[in-house]
Amino acid sequence: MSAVHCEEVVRLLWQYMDRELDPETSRLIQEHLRLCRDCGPRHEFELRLREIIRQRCAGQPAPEALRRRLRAMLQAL
Amino acid sequence: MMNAYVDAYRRADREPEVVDQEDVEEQYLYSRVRASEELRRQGNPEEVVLQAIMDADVEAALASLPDAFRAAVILADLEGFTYKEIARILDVPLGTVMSRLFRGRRLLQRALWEYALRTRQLPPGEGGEGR
Repeated sequence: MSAVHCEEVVRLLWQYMDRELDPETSRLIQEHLRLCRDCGPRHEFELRLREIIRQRCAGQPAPEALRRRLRAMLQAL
Repeated sequence: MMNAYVDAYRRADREPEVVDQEDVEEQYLYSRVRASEELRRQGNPEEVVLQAIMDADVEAALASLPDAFRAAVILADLEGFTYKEIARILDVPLGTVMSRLFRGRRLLQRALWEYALRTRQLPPGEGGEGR
């Protein structure tokens, strides 16, 4: 089917969705997801879940330690 | 009394950090959904669970994560920063960003799955323990 196996796709799926893989690996995974009846729906589910989380949590305050750090970085600019 | 406390403390200190199997599994929630007999009986398992999650207090689930994991999830999934940007923002190595982000996502998925189990009256342990 394609040069990448399901196990590999499952392991790399989040990195793929985060667009953090090199172009070649990314292309192989994209192709696999298009053809594989196990991994395709898995990807679809993760996309929808991520979208729900994004919609429902927009505006969630960052942890205080992170806010402090960001403020310090801005002051250093 | 005091000795017992110290012993317990030392023991905890010696034991390697326990990593349960569920904690290293990618796409925790999807694996549970696929393994659930009861969800299949209720129709399309993915739809049933996503519907349950839409009704869930997702914000509270995210807020329940330990700060380090929550920060990684917020920066990546809500704010769309790259791993490299997050590494700079948090001042940690790239590998740390990835492990915090993935662990944070799994913890969040686990919290959402537990919510779905409660609201859809699925038997505890449904979807299999670990593995």
